[in-house]
Amino acid sequence: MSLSLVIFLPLLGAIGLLLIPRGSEGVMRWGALLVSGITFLLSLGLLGSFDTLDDARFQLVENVAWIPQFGVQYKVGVDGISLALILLTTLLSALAILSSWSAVTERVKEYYIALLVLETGMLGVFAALDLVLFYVFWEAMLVPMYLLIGVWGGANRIYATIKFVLYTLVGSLLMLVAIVALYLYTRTGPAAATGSFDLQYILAPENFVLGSIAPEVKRWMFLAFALAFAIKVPMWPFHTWLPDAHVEAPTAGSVILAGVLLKMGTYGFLRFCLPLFPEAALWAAPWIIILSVIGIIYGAVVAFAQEDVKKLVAYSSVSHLGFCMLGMFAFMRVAAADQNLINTGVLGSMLQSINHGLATGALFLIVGMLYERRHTREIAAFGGLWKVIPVFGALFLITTLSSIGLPGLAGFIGEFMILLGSWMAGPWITVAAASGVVLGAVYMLWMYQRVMQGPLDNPANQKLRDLNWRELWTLVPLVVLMFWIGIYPNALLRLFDQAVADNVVLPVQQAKIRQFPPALPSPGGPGPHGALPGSGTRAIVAQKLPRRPMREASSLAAETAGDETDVDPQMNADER
Amino acid sequence: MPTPILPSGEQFLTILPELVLLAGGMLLLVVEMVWPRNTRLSAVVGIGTLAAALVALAAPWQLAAEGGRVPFLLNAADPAHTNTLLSLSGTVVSDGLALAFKAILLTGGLIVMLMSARYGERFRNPAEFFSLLVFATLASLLLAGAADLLMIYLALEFLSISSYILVGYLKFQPRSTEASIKYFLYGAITAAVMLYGMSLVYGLTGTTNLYPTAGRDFGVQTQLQTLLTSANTRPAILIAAGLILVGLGFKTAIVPFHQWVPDVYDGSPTPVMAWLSVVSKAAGFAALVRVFISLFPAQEWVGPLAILAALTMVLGNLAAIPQTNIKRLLAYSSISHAGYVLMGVVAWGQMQAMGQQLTPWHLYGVPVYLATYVFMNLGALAVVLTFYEENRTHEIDDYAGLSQRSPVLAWLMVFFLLSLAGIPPTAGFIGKFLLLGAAIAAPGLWWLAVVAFVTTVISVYYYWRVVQVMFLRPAQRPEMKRREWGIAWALGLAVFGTAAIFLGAGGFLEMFRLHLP
Repeated sequence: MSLSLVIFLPLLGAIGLLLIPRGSEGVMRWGALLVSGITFLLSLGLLGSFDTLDDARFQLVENVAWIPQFGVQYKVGVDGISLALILLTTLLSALAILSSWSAVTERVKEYYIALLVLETGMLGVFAALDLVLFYVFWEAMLVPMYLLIGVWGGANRIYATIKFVLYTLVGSLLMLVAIVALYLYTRTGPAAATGSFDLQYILAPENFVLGSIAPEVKRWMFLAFALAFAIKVPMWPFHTWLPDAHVEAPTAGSVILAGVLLKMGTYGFLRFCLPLFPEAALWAAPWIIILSVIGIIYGAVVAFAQEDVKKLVAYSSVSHLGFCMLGMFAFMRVAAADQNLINTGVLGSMLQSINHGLATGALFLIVGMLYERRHTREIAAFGGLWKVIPVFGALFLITTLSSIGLPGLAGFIGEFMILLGSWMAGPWITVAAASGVVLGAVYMLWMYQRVMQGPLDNPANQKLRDLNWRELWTLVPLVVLMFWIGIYPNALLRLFDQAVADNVVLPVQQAKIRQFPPALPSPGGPGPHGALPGSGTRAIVAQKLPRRPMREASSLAAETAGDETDVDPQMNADER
Repeated sequence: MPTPILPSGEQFLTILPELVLLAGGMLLLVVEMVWPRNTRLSAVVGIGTLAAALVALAAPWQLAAEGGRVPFLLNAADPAHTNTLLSLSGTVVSDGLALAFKAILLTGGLIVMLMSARYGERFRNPAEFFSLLVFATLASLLLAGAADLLMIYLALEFLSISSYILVGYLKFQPRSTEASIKYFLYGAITAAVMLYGMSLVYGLTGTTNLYPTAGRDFGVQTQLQTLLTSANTRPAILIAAGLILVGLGFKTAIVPFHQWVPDVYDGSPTPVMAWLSVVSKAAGFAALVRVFISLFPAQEWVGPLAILAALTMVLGNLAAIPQTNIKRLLAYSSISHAGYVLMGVVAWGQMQAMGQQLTPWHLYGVPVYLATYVFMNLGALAVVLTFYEENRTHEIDDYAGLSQRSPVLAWLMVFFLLSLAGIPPTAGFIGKFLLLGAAIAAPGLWWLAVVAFVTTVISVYYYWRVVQVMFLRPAQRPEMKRREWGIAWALGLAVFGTAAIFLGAGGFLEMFRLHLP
């Protein structure tokens, strides 16, 4: 199955919608749903042609020269991490379109065009393997997202949109500067004539791209990339655009925003920041961990005070994404002695990204359904709704429980793995982060109680209708996935387990070994640092399918040792 | 060192586009006499002239390419090329810079002509207006290909005088007349200052030819190189450089020679504003690059020009924020774009000053940016003109609800504004990408890249405000109905260019390949 087809099918659908005359809105709704549905099915098809046993390798790669003078390519491909996020994107996009059936009645044509164009942008971000292409997709999402919030958003939307646009642009333009700066170092290896923006080319140690950059320069580049991604995640204190954007966005916009757009931030860290600049990541890790923990607690505390359900969910996102960032960076602080569960935190972070997409996506859908019925999102306006709309209440409850991390539902696995991963980095981090879990349980359940339980005292609430079939169909897939991941997380972990180990953790570990060489190198058996990345996962994920042969610990040690001597090609040449 | 030069017939081939423009301009004057006030006919003749000139550009292009790779910028140290590329007693050069800029200028002129096809109806003698546009474009081509200080001055004056008339062409509107007078005063003074600088150079070197040519084995370039080594003459040369910068800075509208821009752009007829902001500016940059890169010592001017570039970017973008009139907004934005292009020139000079080999960033940056600028800025102005023709207003607030009154126009505007801001998927991204790359690749200029980056964010704010008004405010007037073929073609060309340069960036850059060393 062609990856480009999946990426550009929504765009083709959007062009198709352009041709439909204004007024035939039913056709447009069904057309958009059809296009996004087919895209989802095709992305499932990608899973079929993807070799899940070799999920760390980039597969389904397509490569066309775009600006050969500068080595810019149209290069797309997926590993386990990006494929998981592509599946999440196509699913949530289809559900978002289904959810706007009756909520959007004005300028329907533009609305669906914006959603479909947005989908192409998001898929492109997750599939791009060329830095310029990545940047192009990253920025191309700006306009449709802007329009979604700006045209179909709430009362204060103009303020929210301009804030969203400017925040995003500040980050992404800095990233562009860093991309160009990185490019200038690629004019050394085999692609010296033109340079290259190819991620795989830059990462390959034999091309001496990363090895030739001075550590201070790498730190600046890391910071430029990290700022762009931190704004998107959003990490405290760059989060202030998020509540505004969420509250003003229409339901589908919020679902996409929380479900996918925020994941692009964590994805950016996983795909670019950590593998490209592992030394700088190690250097920045303490600060990022501190910011993440602040974000976790801050998001939870502020969520407490919210009167508006949507704003509450928005702040809970700040808290949940803090967990993702914590899991991603905590392993860098693990002492050399206990490297056993090294992948756990990053795996948990990735899993939490998916879980957050499902649970928060569902919560925003639910808030949207409430709003459609009552045209308010004030918590105080509700109460006792369970008596009127029990089916809604049940799905709402499951989603809430998954969001707060009840064992058996998806949220638990991710949070647990992150806490496990951060424990070795420092128990105090785990204690602080775990208090965020407790707070999360309290504010979510309190919100649920005030909305669904208690006396049904507001007469406006007494004649609400329960979910219709369409609404049921938007929520049920998400709830099923929450149970599935909660009970059998292996299915999902298997998809990106090896990719996390090899494409994210391994480069950082190698950098660590370069910085702190092992005291007693023992080529025979696994030394203190010889623990195989991935072995930790294997301890947690007990049953696994047969995989490709595991690499010997000694070969890893040899690899890292080889890296060390190859760090500075210039120096070697001089010595010769 | 007399060496064989081009045969005289072929010498005229190098200025074939100029000759076509001259003939077309004359023809238009005849048309005015025979068929007075026939806007449609004269527009067709004008458009045909520019299209024919664009086709005729193939002749010098072909001629230049015959000798293999053509240097982007002719250098006196390259005698093989000085003989094949110089013509008409060494006053005209057709190296890569000249050819690329001629293509840009003619494309810009063609789009402006298409825009004004219907606009001419309001004038008593439309063909004269069109012929002035043709002559002004001719002047800009001469400027891009000038290889002689006198030729540069004459082309610049020809360009300015045609522009003064064009700016004041709405002669019963006081604003237009005022703009014309302002423009004239600024232009006359800066041209005089520049001429003084040139006279200094002539006094020092004894020639006005930039490059050595047949019968004379020295040119300004070679002479200056010797004179620069002497402590006695070096200051005089630097003063001359400063004086010449005044004239060229006026044409390209860089700070501090920009004050005329908002009033003149605002007061002039919209197609003329479009022409000034794109064609005239690009021609000025062609001369600026040639004079500064090949004549004056880069070590000396890189610093001051870098500061001017930063000031231009900052001032242009900051001043655009409070504008309520779309023409004034685009006028300030056009100043800021001059700053970005100047950044490219500075980066180029910096590489030269440091004695480093030029990368494709530096060679491609300036011409490619100006090429994208032609399409995106003319596109935006074509939308502005279309809007004005139906609503008779340039106030940004009146664009409210344009997305409902005319969705196509609103979306086109979004596309062009995105491009002006440098956001993909548009040509503007490619241009800005190259210029940022050029600045980052040049040693010691990273701070200029940071300024460009900060000001780009500012520019997004004010471009975006126009989008806000078009999309987020309710419409207060009925749907727009008016259709017009000239502007439709202009918009079509602009959209095509803006999209194609992005999608086919590789192929587009390949067209400039001719000039790579």
